[in-house]
Amino acid sequence: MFFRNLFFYTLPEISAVTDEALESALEAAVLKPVGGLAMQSRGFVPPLGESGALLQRIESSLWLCLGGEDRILPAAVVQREYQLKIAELEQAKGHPLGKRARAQLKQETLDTLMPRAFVKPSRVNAVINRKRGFIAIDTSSAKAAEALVSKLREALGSFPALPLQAEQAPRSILTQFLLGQELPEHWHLGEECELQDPAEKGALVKCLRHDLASDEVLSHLNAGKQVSRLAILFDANLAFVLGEDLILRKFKLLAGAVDGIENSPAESLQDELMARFALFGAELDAFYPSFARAMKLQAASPQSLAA
Amino acid sequence: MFDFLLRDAAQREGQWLDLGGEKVWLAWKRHAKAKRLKLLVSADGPRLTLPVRASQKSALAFVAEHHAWILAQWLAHQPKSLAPLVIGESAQAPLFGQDLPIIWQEDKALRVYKYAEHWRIHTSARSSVRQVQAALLHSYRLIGQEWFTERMQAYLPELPQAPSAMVIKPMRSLWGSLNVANAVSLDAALLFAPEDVAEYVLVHELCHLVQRNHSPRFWREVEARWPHWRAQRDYLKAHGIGIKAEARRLFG
Repeated sequence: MFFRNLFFYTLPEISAVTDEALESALEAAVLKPVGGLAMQSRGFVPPLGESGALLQRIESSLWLCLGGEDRILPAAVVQREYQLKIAELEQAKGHPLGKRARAQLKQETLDTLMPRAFVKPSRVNAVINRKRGFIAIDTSSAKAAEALVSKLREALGSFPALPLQAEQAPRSILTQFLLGQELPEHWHLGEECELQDPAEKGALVKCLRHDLASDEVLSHLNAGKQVSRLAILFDANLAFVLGEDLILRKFKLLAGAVDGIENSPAESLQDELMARFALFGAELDAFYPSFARAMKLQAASPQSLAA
Repeated sequence: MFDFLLRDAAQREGQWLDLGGEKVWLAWKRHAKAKRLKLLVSADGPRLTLPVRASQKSALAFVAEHHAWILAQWLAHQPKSLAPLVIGESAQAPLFGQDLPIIWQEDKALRVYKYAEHWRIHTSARSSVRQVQAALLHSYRLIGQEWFTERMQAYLPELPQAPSAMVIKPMRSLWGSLNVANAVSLDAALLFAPEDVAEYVLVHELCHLVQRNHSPRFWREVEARWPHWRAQRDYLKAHGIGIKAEARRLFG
């Protein structure tokens, strides 16, 4: 339910955008229902369900949510209708249809089927951390992350958001971690990894629920494979699988972190969500400098790495 | 001057050439998109690209006419085949015109990274050269992706649209290309050349977003953004073969 993936961008100029400016930009780009003849619609929605503010803030963390509506129109359905219409028309006219007529017919078929298509709603959460200068998006897909960032750019006019840049190839650092060398403070190995032969279309080994310090894993590394994904535990609070693309997958707040909110009586769903967000924001804020140092990321601002 | 032989006529069209006393096969490739006859000499040998309907007679005449050019290009390629990369043996890998020494280290796993002014390559007992080359290419691609993306920013405001993607990969004969979907591809070997040469190729490809050809109008677009482009183009003409040979040695 809450942030399963983290796709980071750095925001070098976030300090120049005030909360008010951000909120009014989000309001101008609020989600509109998908039009009768449009395939999709994107816009911002309140993070706490159907109503409320478009931007939630706790300390330096801002929570926003990009909503979407996509029409589901299977290509096979369109194709069947289109073929039926072609056959009908060709029989009536007594000759095969030309290219232009076919294209027109295809468009007509789409237009007639579109209002009958299902509309699938979607939500992508994101958290902006002002102090550290980053946005973390709850997706592992570059396309979905870029969609959210470009909607923000569109809403704000100019909004530089840069993908994370590492000074060293992340797979080289992950390999080093798996060997147990120089694992950063508070970082511990989990039980999952993916090892890849660097050559194009090279062999791929996935280990799940596996002791990563075992000889079997080491033997794959000896054979020249490199680590492309690695499960990490950060203190007793966070667990995730870190990929060579610097995306955090299977992100989880562990018992150590969640204890606090589960024991307090929740008044409403919204209160619980805000409590979770507060916790998540604080954990992420504490984790990011360690992550940036471990992966040798280029800092967005001097403050972003300060403890 | 040369003798013509058909070798497995149905499958392989081409002819034998006599290049400075050496018998070399000139492969003919018919290509649906080719509009005219085109000769290319690379490390893999000479190649003639011809339109699907071009006659054998015109192709032979074309090759005969340009025989001296083929010979000159062929000779230019000859001394450039470098000693293959061997794990543990002293070698250098250039980055933006600067030769960075490779420091080899035995380890439990393969790791390749740039550290200060040199490359560090950790190899395990069973690492192969092929794996080292692939890992080195991966590191160069990451550096290239970042460098070219950063350099591109300055040119974006003046362009009709931004490229849809940027791919850094090894290319056989080109330095860069722009496809119909506006994705820019750049040769990973450009990272061996000086920075201004790599940036010129980037500017060249970005200008194809304005003019999808090599017309005088296109060159005016290049000149407006990169006035001294001739120097960099000449550099690639003079040193291009060496850079491509280096890429084959380091990237496989």
